[in-house]
Amino acid sequence: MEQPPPSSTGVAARLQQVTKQYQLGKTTVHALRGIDLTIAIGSYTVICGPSGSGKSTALQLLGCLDMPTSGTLEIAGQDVIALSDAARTTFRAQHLGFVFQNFNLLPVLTALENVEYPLQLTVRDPAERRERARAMLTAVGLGDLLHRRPAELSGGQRQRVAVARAMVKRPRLVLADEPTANLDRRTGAELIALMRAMQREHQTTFILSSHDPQMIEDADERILIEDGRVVESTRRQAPLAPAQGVS
Amino acid sequence: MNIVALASRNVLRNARRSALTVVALVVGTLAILVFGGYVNDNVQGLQTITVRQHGHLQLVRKDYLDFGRGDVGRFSIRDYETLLATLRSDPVLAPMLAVATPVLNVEGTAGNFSAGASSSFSGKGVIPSEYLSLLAWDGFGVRIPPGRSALKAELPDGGIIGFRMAQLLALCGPLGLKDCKTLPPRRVASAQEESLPEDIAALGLAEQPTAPEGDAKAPATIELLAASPGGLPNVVRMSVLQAERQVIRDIDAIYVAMPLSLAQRLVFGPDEHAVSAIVIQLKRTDLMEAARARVSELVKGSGDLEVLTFFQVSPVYEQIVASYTSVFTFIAVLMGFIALFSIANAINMAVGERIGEIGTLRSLGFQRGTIRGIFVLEGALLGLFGTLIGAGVSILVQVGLHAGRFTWTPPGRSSPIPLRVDVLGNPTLILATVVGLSLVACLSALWPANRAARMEVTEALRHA
Repeated sequence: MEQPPPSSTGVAARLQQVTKQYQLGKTTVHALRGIDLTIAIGSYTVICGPSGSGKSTALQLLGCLDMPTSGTLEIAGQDVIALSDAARTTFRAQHLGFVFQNFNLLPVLTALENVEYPLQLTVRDPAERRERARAMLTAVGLGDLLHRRPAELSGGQRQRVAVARAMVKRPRLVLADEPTANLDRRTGAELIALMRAMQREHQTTFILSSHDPQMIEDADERILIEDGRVVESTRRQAPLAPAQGVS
Repeated sequence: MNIVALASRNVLRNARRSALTVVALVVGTLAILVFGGYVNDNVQGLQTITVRQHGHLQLVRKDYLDFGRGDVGRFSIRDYETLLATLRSDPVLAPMLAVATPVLNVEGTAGNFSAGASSSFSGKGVIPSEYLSLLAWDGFGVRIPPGRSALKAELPDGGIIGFRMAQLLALCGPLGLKDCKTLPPRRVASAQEESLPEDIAALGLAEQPTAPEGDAKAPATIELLAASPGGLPNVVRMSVLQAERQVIRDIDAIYVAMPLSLAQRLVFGPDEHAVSAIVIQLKRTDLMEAARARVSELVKGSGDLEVLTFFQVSPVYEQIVASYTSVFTFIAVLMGFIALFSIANAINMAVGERIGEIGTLRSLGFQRGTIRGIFVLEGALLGLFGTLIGAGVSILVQVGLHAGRFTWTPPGRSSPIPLRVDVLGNPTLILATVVGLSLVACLSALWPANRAARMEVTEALRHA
């Protein structure tokens, strides 16, 4: 299916004729079969589709965590396929934030340290790192739980820490792989509202994969992937108004 | 929060496993340091005893070690007094000297013919006061009591024999020795056997001042018989001042020490004065090479003399040290392997448990080198904790052993010695063990750390 033209604000990510094949024993698995995607800067995009459709693979490619078998992949204006492994890692540190389904916090670090730790890759001043981490945790509503370790936090609180960790570096792109899948409905809704609010406040491009109807409904752009192909792409006509605050 | 703090917390995260790994390191460090300290103490003790007996250097005729005892005349030094004066007055050598003294080594047969007993002996003639100084050397401060000597300059015919030699010569009673076995009486005894053979008696009496008649407390005497440089037998009568137990049992049975003048009379007769060696004892062993070079230079024009070290004079010293060293090396290597496998196992398990975290860190932008560094650092921390605790425990063992005043009798010795380990006296060994085992820990962590660093991000994230 043809992808609509990018928004006037510019392109955050572009995939052209991207394929991804895995070797599973003697079987070749075609995870992506030549997809074209263009994600606008500042958009809130949800990739949806049934399990095994290839949405997580697409998200991994967009997050520079994996490379396509063929095709071109451009993130924030950078041809990431041309980068070395080390340069791609640096690119992730500088421009990309991640929110994982299982939160993926480091259990030995407190909430504050979890948010602060990756900042050492991009911010030299320890005091600035600490202040930014503190401010971001406060922004996601965890200002009074800074020194709790992940094991002492609820699932929703952990995912808020993960959102703060993704946002604290002021990334060009945040990728969230089914971020509400391990949360109950109410907590999931709160997290969706939080991410949406953060995205609006910081004008950050968010690309999420999800089955969550509420998240899909709330998206600026919905991309449906089935069997490794983009079968539908829908863009919201009028952008939502900027959020007034974050809950 | 830096990488060291993160690694430290990860080490403490699985406290039981880390504790077991640290215990393995503690045991390894303890084994190396305590045995190393024991070896150190023994080698210092052995060197102290060897240097007391042989000095650090001996100035002898060339080939003396190989042929000297068989041909005393040919391999003796006649102008020894001039040489001694040269050595003692040399401005370079003199500050290094503790003692420089002549010695005449002699072997032959000792007999207590009135008791019908005789035995071979290996003796030496020394200057009593200087011999006493030799026996007091304590260059390492190991506090082995100074050797005693009853030799006296004013008793030119008085000598000392070993305790077992006293037994062999049936002198337990005359010398009033305790715990001394008495020689059983012979089954067949004739007047002829029990008396000193006339020819030997004549030889001895010819050169011997006669004991005052009617002296009820006349000291025990023995006859010493040795071959003169011409091959003829010489005999002197020696008053036995004391029987002294020698540290090595076999030497105890043949030991005779006498004033140099008596030994010279025994070997050369009344008119000739020569010695086997000039024994040079230095203030410290580390001066030996410099002193050896200087002595060689000083005696360059004095004929075919050579300077021997105590290693050469007493090769058993090096054999014992080599034996200790090989056992120590074996233990150190074994402990190194224990450390290697303990750390490798612990870090390998940690990598296996934290694959998801590795994926997370990589996705956040941490390079492969950082992942490798975290796990190597965890290995290094375990190694460092273990070796430092091990070093502390080793020092406690040293203190405990010294406080407990334990003793043991090494093979070949006739008396027990204190069981000591000298850990603190060898800071180089402590440092080398701590650094060495910590490096082994880093190296052993490297393999699992590399495995962690090579993981693909997407594959690692599947384990999160």
